[in-house]
Amino acid sequence: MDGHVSESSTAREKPGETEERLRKKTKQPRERNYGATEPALVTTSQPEAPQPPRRERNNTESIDEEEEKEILKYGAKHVIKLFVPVTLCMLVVVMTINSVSFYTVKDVYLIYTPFHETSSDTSDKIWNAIGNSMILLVVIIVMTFLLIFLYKKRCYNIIHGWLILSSSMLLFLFSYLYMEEVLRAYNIPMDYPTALFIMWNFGVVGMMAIHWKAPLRLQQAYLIFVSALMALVFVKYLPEFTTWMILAVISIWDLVAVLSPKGPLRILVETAQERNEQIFPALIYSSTILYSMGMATDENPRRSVDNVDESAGFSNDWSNQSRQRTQQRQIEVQANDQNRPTQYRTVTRSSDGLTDAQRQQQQIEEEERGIKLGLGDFIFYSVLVGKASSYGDWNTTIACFVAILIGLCLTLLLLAVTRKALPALPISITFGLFFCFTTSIIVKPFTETLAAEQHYQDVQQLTSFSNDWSNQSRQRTQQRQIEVQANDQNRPTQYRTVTRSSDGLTDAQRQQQQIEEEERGIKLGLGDFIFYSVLVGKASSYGDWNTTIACFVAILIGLCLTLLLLAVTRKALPALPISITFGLFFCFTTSIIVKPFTETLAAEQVFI
Amino acid sequence: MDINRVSNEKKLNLCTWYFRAGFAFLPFVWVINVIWFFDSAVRKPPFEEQNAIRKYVILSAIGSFIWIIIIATWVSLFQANRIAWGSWADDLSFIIPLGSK
Repeated sequence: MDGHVSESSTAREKPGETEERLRKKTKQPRERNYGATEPALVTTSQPEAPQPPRRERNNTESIDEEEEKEILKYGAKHVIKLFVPVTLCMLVVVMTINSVSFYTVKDVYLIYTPFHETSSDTSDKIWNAIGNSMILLVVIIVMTFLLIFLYKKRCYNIIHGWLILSSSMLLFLFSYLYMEEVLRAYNIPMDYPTALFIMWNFGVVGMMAIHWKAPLRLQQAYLIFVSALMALVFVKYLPEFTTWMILAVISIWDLVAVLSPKGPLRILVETAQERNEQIFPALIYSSTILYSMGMATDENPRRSVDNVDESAGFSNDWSNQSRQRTQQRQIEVQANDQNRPTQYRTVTRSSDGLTDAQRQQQQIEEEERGIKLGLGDFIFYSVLVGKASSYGDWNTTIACFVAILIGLCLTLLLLAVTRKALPALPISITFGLFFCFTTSIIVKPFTETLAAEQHYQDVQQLTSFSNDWSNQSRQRTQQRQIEVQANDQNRPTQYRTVTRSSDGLTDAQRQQQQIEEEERGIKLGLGDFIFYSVLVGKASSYGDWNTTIACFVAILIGLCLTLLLLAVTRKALPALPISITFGLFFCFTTSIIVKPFTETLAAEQVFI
Repeated sequence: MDINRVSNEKKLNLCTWYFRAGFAFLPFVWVINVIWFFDSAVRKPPFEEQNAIRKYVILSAIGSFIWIIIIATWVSLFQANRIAWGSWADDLSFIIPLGSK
């Protein structure tokens, strides 16, 4: 169930299409404003022209540079667009696991994992885990091939009906149970009428968002929630070692199924390509809006979400789930196909000598595809992080989280390079597992020892802080000067643009300027990075996570305010004062006020 | 889907269906209807179907408001009087909170 990442941005276009894309570049201001890379200085100076004329090709060099920048630009934006939902999903899972004990209690198991790892011998547990994983893998493989069979025989109705059934079960039944457990954990009274009413609304809107039409954010939110639910179910109903083993096995299966020539998902890709079809736009998290203008006629946004059994009796649900999982993968693959047929079609169309309008339309379709990530990926990332957090150690949890994001980044980079459907699980899960285990085995005892020994060093560290600070002041002023110079680079451009646009330049040249402006981005001096990190590092060296996170948040808030001021005043601003002030303030108030408070709270809980 | 890129007929169609769906005890659908089509109904320059969309948005807003009042009344009544109402309130309770020591 893993999914692959489908690349759908224009960076994947064949070289011949880049020209047209460049000409259309100025047409989609909204598309460009996605993501966090827009320059703060220049966003207000762009006109939102709906119909830009074609820009002349001035010279090959500038086009190539812009192509390069475009490719990188889309890549980075889409990475961020995927980071956010993956982070949110993991956040939901981690928060639930830490607050609702239901999901860490092992009482019932699924029938697909008959070995319950009850013996105390480690090697027995490992054998149990391997056995369970093999059973699950076989189930998954069978279901995948079944789905391919159905797809090849064009039994779309069966597939769609089954998808609707599974997603409704997940949205209604499992959300109901989730709500019950959360309310129980927080001891909140609730009556049946209200509860049923809430579930009815939530479920129906979820079905509408997933299978029909709804605002994009709502759809994304539901997909994230549903993936988190599935991940929670996995964490609860799989025995310890089996969870880890399953993650590893699924990653390998993902790799094999997507990349090998006989792999089922690859077969699916090719079949969908032959048919030039757009199937199951559901079951994939899409970071932008999908358009089906002039594309395949089949518009069936169905999503199936995995259901996991609650008790051993629901074997059908589990099989449905595996089918869904495989479908997820296939859907991802098919989503990839959506992109590739588009590319092929665009290539052929552009050689047909189509009118400008039609070519523009195609490019709108392509550009707004965004990145797609299969829901199975969300689920397994969240399972990994959830499992890590269920051990109670924040170091491990955060290490896993960072590892997964790094893996996702690398996968997207590979995607940009290879330009074909890639499995999204292997790299991230490998990093995640590696970081998880090394952190818990190596880092955890280390930090515990450090924390124990630090009680006697606090005061000394505080006094030495001020000495280091004065030593660094010369460096600080130098770096601030670097910042100001960097900002000055931006200002000349702005001025130049203002004067040029009043010169009555041709549209082509004005567009060129705008492209130059757009690609400047925000600049932040390295000194800022250094001193933010010094602050947070110093705070974390006291061993108290509260202080560290408070400093981190304070710095981000300060940075936000600084950027806001930058957008308003439009001149070079020092990036340190606000953030460092907030950071220092939060750091000291947290360590002086919050820390003894939490320690007292923690101490008193022992006797309750 | 991006509501700004959809044709006006489709917008009206969606708005109408969302409005009708809300009658099935689904105030959430009405709320979404209001939020989603607010721009089209109020802020955009006039287009052919805008009056109809505006009508539906206003009606959905009224409907959601009524539902919110009903739900708020019921929840506050229930939470306040759950214990006083005795056994039938317990039958009605989905979660009965555990006592504290």
